[in-house]
Parts: sequence; structure tokens; C-alpha cells
Amino acid sequence: MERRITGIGVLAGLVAGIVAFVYARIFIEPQVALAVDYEGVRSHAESLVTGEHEHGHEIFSRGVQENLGTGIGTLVFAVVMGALFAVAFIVVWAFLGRRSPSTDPRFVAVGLAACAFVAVSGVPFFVYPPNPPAVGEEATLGARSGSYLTLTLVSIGLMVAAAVLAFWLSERIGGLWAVVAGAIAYLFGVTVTATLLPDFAEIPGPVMDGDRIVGPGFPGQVVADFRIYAVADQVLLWTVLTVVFVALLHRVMRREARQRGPSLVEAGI
Amino acid sequence: MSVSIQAAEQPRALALPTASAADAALWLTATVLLAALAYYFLGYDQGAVSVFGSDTHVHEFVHDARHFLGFPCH
Ligand SMILES: [Zn+2]
Repeated sequence: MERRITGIGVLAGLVAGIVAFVYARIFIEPQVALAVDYEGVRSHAESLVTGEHEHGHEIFSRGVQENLGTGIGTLVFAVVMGALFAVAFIVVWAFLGRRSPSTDPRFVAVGLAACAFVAVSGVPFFVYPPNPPAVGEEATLGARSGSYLTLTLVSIGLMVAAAVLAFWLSERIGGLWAVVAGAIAYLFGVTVTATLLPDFAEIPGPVMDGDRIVGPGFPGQVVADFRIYAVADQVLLWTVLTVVFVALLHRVMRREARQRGPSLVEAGI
Repeated sequence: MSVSIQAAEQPRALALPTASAADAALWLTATVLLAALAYYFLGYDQGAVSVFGSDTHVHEFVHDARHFLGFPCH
């Protein structure tokens, strides 16, 4: 059972990854290209000021990066999410299915996916929005990586805690209010976490030579578009992952119902 | 009243995992570890930290995806 459902998760992740890659290749890569263009303009302007020439060596060509690299990267991410989602589903179903066997596991999967999207993508993106290349400072990379990872892990932990709280409360105050209480606890927790973590505002301003502007600041529209498309990419990824997972789960359920024997069918159950 | 009895007697829509079995626990742990390793290489290796020292092949290869998947980068 665990193996089959893990397989379903990986397969759902694979399909979601392909769809998300196609979307990213069409909508996000042009924004990356604009950011890389700006990088060139900026380093040129900076070399005018300092008189030094610095040329970054690229290991992979832009063509490889924006096609193969983006494809593999998106697929790996989606498959990782699919596998972890399957593990989370198995654990939740092992608990819920024992307590209330009549629960439809497909609803459990959809609810879990909504929680996973909020915890893994929604909240971390809201606190630290994704940036196109040439925006972040090299010196803060370590701090930014640490903060982002911390926020993601705390967000997932808080979501698990909020779900446990909601289950515990549901028998006392009813399902709806238990969910509301869980949501408030989660939002309170992530808000406190986000407040405690450092802020990063690093979008490059214009290149200055004394009082004179010799190079433009980073184009704001590129940042805005990049972020919108990145969020849409995540929404698409999680939606496809959930739909495929639920569809495959439905197949497994039907097969199990058949294996349980024709006697059930004959008895009219 | 009859509703709750009916619900209790209804067959499960999906078999429960045998979570008590060490086999299942091992499988789930292995899956999580493997996924975490892939997540680390995709989002963090050769950025803030690196297990291969100064090499940046993984970073450069998945660089664009790393940006729009939300991982901090340059
Ligand atoms: Zn970068």
C-alpha cells in the first residue's frame, strides 16, 4: 500500500513538473532573459565607473540553462513534492482512516494539498518573494538561504501542529471552529516567525558616478512579472499534482473494491 | 442514530497502511531522506553551502529553476 501510494505521488509530481516546466519556459524564462540583459548593462556601467573589467564565465550556455536546466530543476522539485506529499498522505490516512473509516480519502488528499501549498509555497513566497537573477547580493546569500529554509521548515512544522490542534478540538467545538482555530494558530505562528527573521530588500538601484546616474536601476516591471509568474507556476504545479494524485488514488480504490470480492457487489453493497 | 451506525459499518474506501510494520516505516523514512537530499541539491548546494567545495555545476545547471522556485540566489 505505502509503495503504491508513494508511486502515485512520484507519478503525479512528474506530470505536474512537466506542466510547470512548459509554463515556466513560456512565461518565466523571458523575464530571466530580461534580468540577464540588465546584468550585462549594469556590469558595463560599473566598469565605466571603476575602470575594471569583469567577465563572468558561464559553465552552461543560456540555452542549456533555460531549457534542460529549467526542465530538470522543475521536474526534480515537483517529484520531491510529489513524494513528500505521498508520505504525508499515508501518515494522515493511517490516522484518519482508522478513526473514521467512511471518510473519502480523495477529500483528505485535496485538503492535505491545500495545506501543503500554503505551508511550502504560499507563506514562504509571501515573506520572501522569488527574485529574478541579478537582484540578490552575493554577501547575503548565506543569510537569505538560512532564513528561507528556516521559514519553510517552521511553516511546515506549524501546519502539522495546527492540523493536530484542529483534530483535537474538533470533538470539543465542532469541525468548522476547530479548523478556524487551527488556521489562526498557524497564521499567528508564521507571522511571529516572519517578524523574527531578517528582512532583505536588495533590488539594485541605479549605478552612480558621484551624483551622475551612469546605469539604470533594476527594471521594476521585470521583478513584478517574475514574481506573479513564479506564484502562478506553483499554483499550477500543486493543482496538477493534486488532480493527478486524486485520479490515480481513485483507480487504486476501485481495484481494491474489486479485490475485496464480488460477493459485496452481488449483495448489492 | 442509524446514520452513525451505518457510517461505522461502511467498508473503508482505501486500505489502511500497515503503519506498525517496520517495513512501512523504513520505506517512508527512505522516501523522505531521498526527497530531502534532492531538495538540498536543487535549492541549497553550491549556493550558501556546498558538499563539493568550489564546484558550481549543479548550481549553474538548475540556476533558472532555482530562482523561480523561490530559492535565494544571486
Ligand atoms: Zn542566481
